[in-house]
Amino acid sequence: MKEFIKKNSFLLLMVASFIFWFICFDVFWRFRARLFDDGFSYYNIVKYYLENISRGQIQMWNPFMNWGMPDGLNLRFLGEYNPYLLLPLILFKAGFSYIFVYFSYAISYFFLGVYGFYLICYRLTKDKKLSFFAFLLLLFSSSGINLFFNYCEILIWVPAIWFFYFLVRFYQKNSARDFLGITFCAMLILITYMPFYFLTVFIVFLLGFVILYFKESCNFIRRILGFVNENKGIAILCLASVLIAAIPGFLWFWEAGKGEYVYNYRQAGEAGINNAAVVSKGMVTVGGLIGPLYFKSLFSGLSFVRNQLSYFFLSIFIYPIILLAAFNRVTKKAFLYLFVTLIMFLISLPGEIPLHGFLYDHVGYFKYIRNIYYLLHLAIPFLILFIVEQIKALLSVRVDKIARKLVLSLVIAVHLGFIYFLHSFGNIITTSYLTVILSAIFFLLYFSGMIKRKGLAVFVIFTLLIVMQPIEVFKSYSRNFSGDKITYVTIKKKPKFYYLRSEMNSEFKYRYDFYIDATGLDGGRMAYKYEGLKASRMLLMNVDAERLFNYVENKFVVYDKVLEIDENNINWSAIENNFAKLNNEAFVFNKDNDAVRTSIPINPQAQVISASSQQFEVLKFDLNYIEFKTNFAKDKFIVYNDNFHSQWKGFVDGKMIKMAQANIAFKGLWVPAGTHIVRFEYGRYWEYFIHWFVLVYFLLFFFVFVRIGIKHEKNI
Amino acid sequence: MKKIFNLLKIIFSRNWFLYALIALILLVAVDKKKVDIKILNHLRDSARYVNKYALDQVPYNKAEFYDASEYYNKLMKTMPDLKLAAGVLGYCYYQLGQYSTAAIFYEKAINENPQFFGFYHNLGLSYLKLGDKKKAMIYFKKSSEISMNESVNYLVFLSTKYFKGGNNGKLWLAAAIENLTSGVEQNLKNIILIYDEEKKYQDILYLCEGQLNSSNVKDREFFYFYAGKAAYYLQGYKQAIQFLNAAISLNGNNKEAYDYAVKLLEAAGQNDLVRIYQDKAMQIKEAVEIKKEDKLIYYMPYYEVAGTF
Repeated sequence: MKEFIKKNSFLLLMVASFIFWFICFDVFWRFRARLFDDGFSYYNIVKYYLENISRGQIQMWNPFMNWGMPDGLNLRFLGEYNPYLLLPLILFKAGFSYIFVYFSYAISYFFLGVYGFYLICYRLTKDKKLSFFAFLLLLFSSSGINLFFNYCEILIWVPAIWFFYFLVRFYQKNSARDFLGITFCAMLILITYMPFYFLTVFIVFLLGFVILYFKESCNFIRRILGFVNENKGIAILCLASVLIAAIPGFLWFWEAGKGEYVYNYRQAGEAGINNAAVVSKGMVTVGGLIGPLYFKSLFSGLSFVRNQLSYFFLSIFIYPIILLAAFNRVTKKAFLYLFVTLIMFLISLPGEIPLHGFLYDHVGYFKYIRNIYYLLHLAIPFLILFIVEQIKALLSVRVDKIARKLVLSLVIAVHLGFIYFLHSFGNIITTSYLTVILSAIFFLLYFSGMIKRKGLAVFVIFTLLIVMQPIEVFKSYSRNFSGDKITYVTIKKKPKFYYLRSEMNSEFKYRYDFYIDATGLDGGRMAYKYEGLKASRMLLMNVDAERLFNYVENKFVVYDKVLEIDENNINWSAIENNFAKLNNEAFVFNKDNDAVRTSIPINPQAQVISASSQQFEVLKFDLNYIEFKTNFAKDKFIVYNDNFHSQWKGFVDGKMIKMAQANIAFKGLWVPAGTHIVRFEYGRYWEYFIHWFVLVYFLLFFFVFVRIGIKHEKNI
Repeated sequence: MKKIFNLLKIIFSRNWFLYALIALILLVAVDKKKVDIKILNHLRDSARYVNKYALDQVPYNKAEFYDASEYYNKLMKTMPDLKLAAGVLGYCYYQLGQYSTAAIFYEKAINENPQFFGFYHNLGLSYLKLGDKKKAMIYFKKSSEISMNESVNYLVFLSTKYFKGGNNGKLWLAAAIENLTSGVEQNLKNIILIYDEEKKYQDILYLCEGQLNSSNVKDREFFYFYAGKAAYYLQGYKQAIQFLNAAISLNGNNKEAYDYAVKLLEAAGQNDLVRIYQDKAMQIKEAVEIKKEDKLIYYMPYYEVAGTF
């Protein structure tokens, strides 16, 4: 036991710190306060994904949101091929409560990222204590807040950290394991939301590295080429793996460019002209770092913090370090870290400085990045590396008797000055002052020679200095939200068909339940952020809401007559009238004119299907398909009020029948008289194949990588 | 020369030089006005919260008041011609428990807008919270000297200027006038309570009689009670018992009123009534302490500079 503790002392310390950190936010995982915004979305996105994948269903189509739409973006938010999702899936299938499942997954993944950062620091500094300080600085920073506010950032950040870890290892000693590690992290980055954030940080880092370490860069490139030459199989495998990982993102991007899908909140320009993934410059400018974050807010009012804390927060201890480090020599490493941080910060000010505007206009992929301030979050580890370098330098200072007075005076001046600076803002929390005072005492004693550099005192005091103030801030953060609750959906669900939309919504009452039939007009999920199909958006904008909603209340409407209308000259009042009166005539555009039948029907009213009957019965329903049985006396045109999309196919008795875009936005096709089985299916077969292939590929790659890693460790 | 060069090399090879470079880049590249506008845009919701809180539409949230104070502070710095933010800042700091800062801003608000009752009253409350009854009294008295019409006209001016028609302006104005009316009474009550501590019973009697002659009184019981108490101490026993009986008829749970009434009845030898009043007083479980009311007068609609954000 003693041996174990001694050998793993730092790991145990890290776990203990993590548990302590976890306790600071008990108000969230005890559900005394709700998760916010995208923290809450992710809770639901992961639940929805687990419910579907555990049934073997890939989320290609979402039949619940805005009358049905392609579900690619939620999957890009999640990075559905990440093998780490096996953890929540196993727990979910084992029957654990979803709250436990989600927080186990989310929090452990975050810990993995912070631990990865510790490993990077250890590789760079060879000092466990300094690496532990870096670990603490990152753990007790704004990074963790995103667990409760915007989990997307954690999903981007964790593979980025591990990418750099394997890169550092590979740089220090070429090995196949590290090359595979770099590849695997690159694959994870490619499948998560907007790999361009990481790409930006990496490019800037690379630029800085090449400029500062030109000779070393050339050497490294030579070594990489040498490695590739000697390990062609691995190199080809890795290249192929990266290309495979790029497929899902590419497919979503391609889909978004076809013009059928719109995301009007973030989209620049009209669908069909611009890719739905393109963000307007104005949208990026409205967001950005400044607003939630401003200079004074770094120091003042921390007892009142709420979600602005997630934008940028580091322990106040870094500021006396930065100030004292003013007298440290500039090193290439420090310069590099600061360079990356500064560039990311400057890009995160889209409205305030022209750098982002320039990049938006001249660097293609910047048109797809909306939440530009994520870049600063990815740069926080670099800033911490800079701080750690300065701590190392400060603790290495040997002060002789002659310079001692000067050094001690500087320490006092810096700390007093900083206290005065804090005081001038007002609303400073007690631990901010305490940290600065304790820091002053420490450095005075240290530079006087009364504290030994390698002694336990340094370690204990630094740990205290780093965590003291953040603990008070995190407690304030939790307290400020305590009592602000929301109902979480925790029970397992699966898609169930309802003939009437209101029947579904009366059963699934919660606004954020992914199974609720939600539209942009009735508030659904974030009405102002309309995401869906262009045609249904047109309906929402041009048809009276009450009449439209009364019409789409019915999932199936059966017609005897189909008329043609001009897509470029729609008579909206006629459409509205038709919906209101449920006239027995559906509408199709010119492209579907082969569906037109103009014989006058006997019944002037269309037939609404409100329940199963001899004539009509839904047999099967899931995300990507619906199957129903018909038995009409005559040919009927069935309109399914789920959005039309070019990838939907219709089959009657197994034979493909052309599906029409009916009543502006919905699916329609003719079914002959008599008993028939009709099936609507979404997607192309090769897309399903790709999804499963990529999923299995990621798992295989991960297991191969882990196996090689274990083998490598045993050989050592 | 070499020495100078070495010295320069030492100086410029330190981190401070990097810091200076970064500061220069930020100073030159960042558009400060856009930064200010962005911050104001972000904090705007908290300013809206303050209005809703003043209209009792949302519960108290300290963090929102802090952000609102940041908003209005920044607004005053960005738009120094704006004269109306001082009063809101006073309100925000008062809600944050920072009474001395609240007082500073209310004094500023009075300098800029001397015709509004609410600022004097709120400043009085701020001094009361700071324990300075003398100063509080000065401002309570000053606020009682402001004519209601002037204050109402001021509110009408604000509602027209900031709501630009529509129903919200009317609703706001109605709520603001209601708030003002109850504030005037509250102000008088605070004066009476301070006089009571100072045992200035003549002044109390004068004020209470004046208020009771008015038709627009919400809390008559209060004024009857203190009139009765003052009359008791001024030995106007007949007057006192009349006032106290009126107070008791409005609120049968005023134990103190019963106590004074019992003393008066005992002195007048009306022992039957004494027993009745004593029995009634015993049924009251707890004496309710009458506290000085500290609800602020709030006047300010959410202020938004059109076209700036």
